[in-house]
Amino acid sequence: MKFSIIILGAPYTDEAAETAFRFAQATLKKDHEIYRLFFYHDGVHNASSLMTLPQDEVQPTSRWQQLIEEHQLDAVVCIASALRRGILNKGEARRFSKPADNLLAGFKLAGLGELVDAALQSDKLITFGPCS
Amino acid sequence: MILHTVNKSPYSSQCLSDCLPRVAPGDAVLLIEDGVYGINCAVSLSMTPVNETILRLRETQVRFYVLREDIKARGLDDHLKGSLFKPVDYEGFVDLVGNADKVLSWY
Amino acid sequence: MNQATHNSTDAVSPVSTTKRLLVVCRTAPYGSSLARESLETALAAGAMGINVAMLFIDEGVWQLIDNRDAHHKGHTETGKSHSATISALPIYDVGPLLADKESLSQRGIDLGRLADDAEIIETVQVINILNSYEIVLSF
Repeated sequence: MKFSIIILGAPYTDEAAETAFRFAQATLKKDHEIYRLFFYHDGVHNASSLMTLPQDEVQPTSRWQQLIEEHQLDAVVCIASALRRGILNKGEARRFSKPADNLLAGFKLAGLGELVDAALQSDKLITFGPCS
Repeated sequence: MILHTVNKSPYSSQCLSDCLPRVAPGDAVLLIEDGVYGINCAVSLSMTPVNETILRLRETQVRFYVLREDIKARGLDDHLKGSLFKPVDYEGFVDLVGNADKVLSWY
Repeated sequence: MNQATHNSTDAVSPVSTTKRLLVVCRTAPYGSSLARESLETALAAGAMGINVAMLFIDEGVWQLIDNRDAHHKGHTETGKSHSATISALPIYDVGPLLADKESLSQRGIDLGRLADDAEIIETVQVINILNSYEIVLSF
């Protein structure tokens, strides 16, 4: 079956991102397909390359990145939510003359059409809402 | 059939009490994250609307689950015994989603 | 809606589908961006030619209070209020806008204050509505 997963919570702050990650792992383990991961609302922070945790703690963002790379997942970050929260790729940083870009490799910025498309194309759609 | 997920404690949030009246016969309810603090609610919130609704829904083939990992993380394992909520692991969670027509997240 | 330069609803093309989408709104406007993001999702679906309805329940019913001329501190002078966006939804083919009667009465909301396009539904209908749409997204 084709699953799409919507993540609305920021990593570290919010357990939702952790739950979504574990759910995504279990989905793949059960041989389902993940059609798309869609990061929206505060979930866009999961795609920040600047998140820095002590070395003995789990690095939530790089863990997503590994999962995305290993399984070649389509990981879309809502562009409007991302820019409003300071998550930018190179192109957007240049376009708005910002001093840096911080979108992790493997994630892409795109519009809400990708969320609607995921809802239409997937057999199952699940939202992990923020805890706070 | 709808799978309803609830991620907030019934002691701090309306999530569960908002969810329950919208549950149809045959649906499933899964407590995750702080939602698992509701594991005792059908017992400890005695004769509250939440309690009454859960007991009534059980008679209409509504199934109640909790995410085992979140129960364990919070040290609530001993509350599983005799609970109305059946524990599932992440793979069980995936199966619940796979078997549902839709998932409605209450957060 | 405030059409920012990075509008998330543009550059979408119409799709052919019979699936209908229900956006379930359970959050009040302004306190968090979730309410606004729920409207943006509905607008994106409408722009793609999807049959999209909205269901306002619980705290979500606050979104329907008609206050379209107000400016909120989070918006510029030219930015529209949440209420103004709500009133524009039918223009973008989003509808019906369903409001749960019990959620409204629990909060003492005068039905005369609601957006023109809000359609009040009996609480017993909520379950049927949730079940009748092929896709549901909750905010």
